[in-house]
Amino acid sequence: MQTGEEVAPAPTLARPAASPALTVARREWRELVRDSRLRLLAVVSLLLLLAALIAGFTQAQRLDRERSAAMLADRSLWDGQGAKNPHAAAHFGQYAFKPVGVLALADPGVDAHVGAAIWLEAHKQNEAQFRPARDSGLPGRAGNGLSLAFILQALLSLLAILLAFAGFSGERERGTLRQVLALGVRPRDLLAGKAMAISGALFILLLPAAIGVFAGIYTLDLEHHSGVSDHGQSVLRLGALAVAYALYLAGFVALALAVSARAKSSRAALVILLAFWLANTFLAPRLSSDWVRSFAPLPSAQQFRDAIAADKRQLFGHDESHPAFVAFKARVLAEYGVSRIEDLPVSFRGLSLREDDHAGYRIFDRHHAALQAAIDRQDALRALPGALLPSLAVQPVSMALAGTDSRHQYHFTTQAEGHRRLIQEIVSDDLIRNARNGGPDYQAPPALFASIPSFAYQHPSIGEVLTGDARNLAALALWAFGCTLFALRSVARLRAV
Amino acid sequence: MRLKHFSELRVAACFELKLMRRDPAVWLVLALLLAAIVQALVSGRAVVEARERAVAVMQDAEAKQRAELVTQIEAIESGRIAAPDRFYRDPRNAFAVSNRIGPTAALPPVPLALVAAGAGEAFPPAVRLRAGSKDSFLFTEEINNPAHLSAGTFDLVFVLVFVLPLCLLALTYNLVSGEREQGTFSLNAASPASLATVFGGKLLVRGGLPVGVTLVAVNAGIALATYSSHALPLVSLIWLSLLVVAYASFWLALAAFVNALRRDSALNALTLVGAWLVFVLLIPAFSTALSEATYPAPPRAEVILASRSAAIDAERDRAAEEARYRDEYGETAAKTAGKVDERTRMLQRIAVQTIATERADAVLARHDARVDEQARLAARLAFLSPAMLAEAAMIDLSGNGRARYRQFEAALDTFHREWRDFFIAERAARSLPLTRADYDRLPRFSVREKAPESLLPATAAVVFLLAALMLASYYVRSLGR
Repeated sequence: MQTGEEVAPAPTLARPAASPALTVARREWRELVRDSRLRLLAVVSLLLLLAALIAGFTQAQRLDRERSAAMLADRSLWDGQGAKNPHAAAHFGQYAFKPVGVLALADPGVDAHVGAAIWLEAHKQNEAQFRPARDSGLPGRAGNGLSLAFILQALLSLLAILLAFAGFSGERERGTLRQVLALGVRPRDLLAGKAMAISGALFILLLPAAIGVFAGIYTLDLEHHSGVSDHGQSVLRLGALAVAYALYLAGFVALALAVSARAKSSRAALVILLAFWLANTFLAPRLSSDWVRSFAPLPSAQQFRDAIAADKRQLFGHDESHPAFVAFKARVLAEYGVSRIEDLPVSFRGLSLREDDHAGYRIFDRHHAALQAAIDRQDALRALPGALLPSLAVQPVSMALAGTDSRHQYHFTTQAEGHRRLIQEIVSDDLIRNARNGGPDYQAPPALFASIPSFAYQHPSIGEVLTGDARNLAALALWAFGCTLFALRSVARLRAV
Repeated sequence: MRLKHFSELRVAACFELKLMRRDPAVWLVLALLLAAIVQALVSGRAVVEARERAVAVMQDAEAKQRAELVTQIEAIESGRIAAPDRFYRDPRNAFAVSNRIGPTAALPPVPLALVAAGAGEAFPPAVRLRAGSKDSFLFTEEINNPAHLSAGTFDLVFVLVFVLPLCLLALTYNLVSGEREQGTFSLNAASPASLATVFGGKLLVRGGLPVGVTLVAVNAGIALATYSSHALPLVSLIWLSLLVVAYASFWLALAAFVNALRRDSALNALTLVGAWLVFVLLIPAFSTALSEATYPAPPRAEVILASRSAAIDAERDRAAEEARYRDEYGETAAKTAGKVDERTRMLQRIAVQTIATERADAVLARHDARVDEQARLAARLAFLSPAMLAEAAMIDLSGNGRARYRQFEAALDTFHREWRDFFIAERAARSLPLTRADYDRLPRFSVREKAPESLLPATAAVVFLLAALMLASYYVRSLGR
């Protein structure tokens, strides 16, 4: 941070043989290191990053412990069922718990606002329950939680501005800019040198955080309880996260240097950049959410459930007087060439349950996919100005790579529904094969229930994530490229005389 | 003497007002603030209305379901149709109906709900109650885009707590330093009035303008927004206005304090932005982390596990009973005895549901105690930052805080017991059928909110004013030197 009052050392371009940009970078680096206020800022930022890392680590570990315990307890309840009718066991169902992704320690994303447990019961695709935000001591508290993503998005971008806002304007105020240009240093080399020094400082600050997350991937080992453990994928995701944040912060460095080159004074540059930082970090995410909500609203929970219930009225469920049931019965009897249910070689009850389930799957798929499509549409609209207000692009990318966005939640609920269907198919097949038509209530042995596995969540591959968020990644690249272009055009106007 | 001071203060203020009228930056800040307040009122109202609509849809669905059951029971009682063959479709079966109707229990918004509309979204606007254990209805949520919940709403709390201080700081960061840098400070020093009075007048205008705009816009906006649906919430508006003035006084006094340190304007701006960051972002972030680490959110899965275990235990008990019977009376007798009639099965279902309810209630009570402890710690930590304290006080005024939702949960608890007594204890457990007349006597939900309201707004206002006084007194002493 250089203010007009400071007496800057005379420019020393001691090694003309080296690239001019590198020489400028070395000089800038020395000045950055010498500034005691910047050293203080760097130490504070580093401490904040480490605190966020520790908070994320502890939180992820606790949630993983709790969910693993819940999974084991639910499994023991499932296994504790004695001999019983398989369909009664399907009604009892299992619970699917969303395992904590290891990168949630870097960006908890929307995890506090989505449920982490789903009851997988017969006939119904239930919604995820238990949003942690509801149990927060003070709902809607000022500011955000302490997370690496928050520090990177809000504070590191501010640090980039504070490091760069006086880059050109400060030199102009001290009179050193003219001297440097008079020496024949090209403005673009000056820009490249300053950008390299500032980016280097940011990189050094971020390195411990990246190493911390990398170590977390190998030490936390959260997902072994769910049978998923792919460190390679997590490391790839971390790499992609680093690229996304590098683009985000590089844009801020370039923008700050561009504004500094154009502004009349350091103070004007600082005011403009702070206004942009505030708009990008705090105003844009909330304003865009509110506008998108009123422009493309979602149905209420009751409307959503009513629409499913209306479609499900076409199904017969357990209603043997339903026209669809009567038609199905006639079809089955015709297929087997018999006139009475008692003459069927398989259980009619099992067949009818399977038929009803399959028709239900199509209804659930249609409604849940439409709801997620509406959420996706909102997200896409919200991120539309991402190349101009990069927080709107970096937030979805960061959450997606950390596995904590709404697409990952949908991925979890879809897999959980897949597991529910697996349970339904197994119990219906067992009924079809073993229950006798017209006989006493059939009871399957406990071994059948023990043979049905617990839910094991598989994270989507990084390829799926990157494809899903390609537009936001492109917006981030455009932001960084646009700011660099703006900086190059801004410094091109600088003249020695 | 006092009159003289007042007159000098007025002269200084009038002079500053003239200067500010010609400054386009001042108009820009005021216009942005006004636009933010208008947007916040619109956003807040939209959220409140969406929640009211969601409750109306729930009530409508409940009314339709009830009407269908009434039509069906009338037809059965008059002999026009036969009773359904399955108990869960029978409108006379109290156990089945107790879980089918799902009465809507809503916490109605208070007139100032739009002030902290975002905070209210942590909780569902209403629940549809069931006679089963509370986990079957307590955690059903409204549909929301989670990214929106995570970003927060652009409501008045956000504007007043986050944006207003920035506007105040933008107008006051160079209150004294700017004069020094322009060389006009000595002119002020030469005036017959004391420096404290001259700069007091300047501070009054620079702070008074945005605060005045805020008070007018917020009060007029809320009056307009609530005009059709509520009586004008005068007392709450007075409290909100007092809070805004006290909170703004703190930031103005802080700006004056930083100016009194006699640094240049650029450093003043950075120091004040740093203070804003610390109070508005960092302390809240650390407080959140600390309260979550000290009292982590309860593992809610325990509730479902507790109620599910009731079913498994009941099955085991039945199996053990049958085994004992078999040992005592032989296989053939056990087979005959094992065949239970529909009435016994229903009583078994009721017993399992009752045990599940008791177990879930015990776990929920433990969880609620832990959440309350976290809330108490968060409330204490709020005193570390004026932003947190102001936000907590405004959330209380808006009726969207945890304390009011806990009252709602207590009312839900009472209603759940009434509902269970009506259907289960008084009818299903005695194997009595529901009649058409019973449908007119169903228990109704109501929340009896306890007065007096929260003391937090008053406490917060006093704390801000005290802090402002302390900072301002240093400023006055510094100018006197």
